[in-house]
Amino acid sequence: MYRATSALTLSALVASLLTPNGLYAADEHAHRQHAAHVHGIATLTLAAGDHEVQVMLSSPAANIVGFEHPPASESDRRAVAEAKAKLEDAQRLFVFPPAAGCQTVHSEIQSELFASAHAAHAHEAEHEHEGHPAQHADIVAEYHFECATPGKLERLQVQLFEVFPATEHLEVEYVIGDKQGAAELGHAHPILTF
Amino acid sequence: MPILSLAWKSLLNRRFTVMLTVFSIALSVALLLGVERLRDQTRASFANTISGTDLIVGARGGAVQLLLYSVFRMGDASNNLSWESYQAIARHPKVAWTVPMSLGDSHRGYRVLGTNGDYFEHYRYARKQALSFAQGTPFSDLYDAVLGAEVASALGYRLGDPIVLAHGASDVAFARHDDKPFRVVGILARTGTPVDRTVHVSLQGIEAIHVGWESGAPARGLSPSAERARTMDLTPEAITAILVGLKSRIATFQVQRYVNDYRAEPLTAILPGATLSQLWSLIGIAENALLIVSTFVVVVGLFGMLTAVLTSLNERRREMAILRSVGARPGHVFALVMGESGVLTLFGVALGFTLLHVLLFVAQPILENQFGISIAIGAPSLYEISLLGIICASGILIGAIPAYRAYKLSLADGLSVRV
Repeated sequence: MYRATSALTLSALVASLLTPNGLYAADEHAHRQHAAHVHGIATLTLAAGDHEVQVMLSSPAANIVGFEHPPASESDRRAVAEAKAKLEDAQRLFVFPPAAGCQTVHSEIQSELFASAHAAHAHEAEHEHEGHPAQHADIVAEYHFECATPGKLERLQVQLFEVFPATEHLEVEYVIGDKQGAAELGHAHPILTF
Repeated sequence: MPILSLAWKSLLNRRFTVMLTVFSIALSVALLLGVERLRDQTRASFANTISGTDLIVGARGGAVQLLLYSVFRMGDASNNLSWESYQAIARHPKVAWTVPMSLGDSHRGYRVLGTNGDYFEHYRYARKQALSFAQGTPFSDLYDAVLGAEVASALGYRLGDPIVLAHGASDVAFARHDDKPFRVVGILARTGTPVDRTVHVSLQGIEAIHVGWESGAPARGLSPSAERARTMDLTPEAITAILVGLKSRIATFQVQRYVNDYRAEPLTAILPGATLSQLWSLIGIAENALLIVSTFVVVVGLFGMLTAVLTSLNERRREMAILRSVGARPGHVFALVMGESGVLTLFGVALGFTLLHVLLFVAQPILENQFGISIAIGAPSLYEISLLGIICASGILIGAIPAYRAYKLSLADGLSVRV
């Protein structure tokens, strides 16, 4: 297995640039760390406590958008915007037991691809002819739910495989109250039982 | 009713083969149930090893490896983590408590764990059970040691006994820290976890015995005396792993990311519960193989019974004919043979169940001492009862084959049958 347990994700990068720690990034002692990046595999973490449920999905952009280069054409940009809209629809992606009464409070989608959507034109002209190597890109989606009856949180149906068929496996780690666990979901078994 | 007593007498007449058949079914049932019981209990004691710890932090590496060396005392760390990183993690606002762990030395085959008093306070196993002292107290002096239950019982140590730690895993004369013996001040109550097989000393104690050992052996004249070591600064430079408890569990992944992205040092934080279930899913494959093999043993046992009953039919053609002559109908013959298989299976299952419990009763202390697997001897679980039910039903069903054959024969044969 060449997947590292840590996902050095964009959000972490962004966060680290904003915090004092981030000073290292610009430093000449910049640490060269690369999280593993395997197309078809995404990771999901779920933490539930009291009425709060936090879900974070990290996936290679290829699983979600279909490519990982900065959007170059109009159709690329459309694909990115579409993917982002689908990711923002938390209720479509995650089906909690109705009895738990969970509502989406907040969702936030981050990726290099979205960032470059604005600045793409300027950079394209510069880099297009330099044979800029294709970079890997990740998408990190964070969701925040509030559940009225958290005691009824017995399972979670993940519809990611239907919405984004390029996602083959989802590696899940969860913390619910005192209980920790891990599971692997896929097309054939998309339901996580806690 | 007379037909039943006839059937019983017929069985007694063939008692040797019958006993062998029953015994082979019993053995196969005992094996299947035994494997099932062991599987269940291993899983339980496995999952019970650690609880209440939200994260375990070690040097960057595999999650399973970190879990194995920090909790199960198996294998070794590829790297240590620095004391500064430990301090930074302990200061993180979401962290409630931390327990530093330093591994690497041994005492007569048992691992030595360097830690601090928080270990006895925060380490939890099974359903949030805290460690308790069977005798004595936690370490307070530099050269105090607290023994796990098994270490104490296997090596016969009592409070106040001196023990000498060995450098690394090998206990050879030149690698013993015999200039600085430790004193047993506490013995923990049995937990059924790797804690039982651990010698606990303070982090400073670990440091003290290693001063002057930088080359891997005591440098002549460089290793200070036990008393002089007390005056030195014994803050370790590096430790092996940290157990972390959080103020709020919902922050688990947040703190995990903080550790995994920690820039000054490559670190890994794992969720012990999640890694346990990953590890178990690996082991689960071997576990299923074992269950499949024992299921086949039961199938073989039932086939053995089928063979035995079928072979006996030829010898019993005259018996059947006589039964028919005194008024038994072909249907009676069918019921008789089928009932016989049923009785053999039932006896086999009952004997197997008893056999297993006798075996468990004998093996329980050995399993607990040698492998740390505690097997509860209790009423069979619902799953076990359904397994037994399936075996009985298949035994009775299989009996239909020889019964049908006896039925046909009894229709065809007259009294003049030649056997």
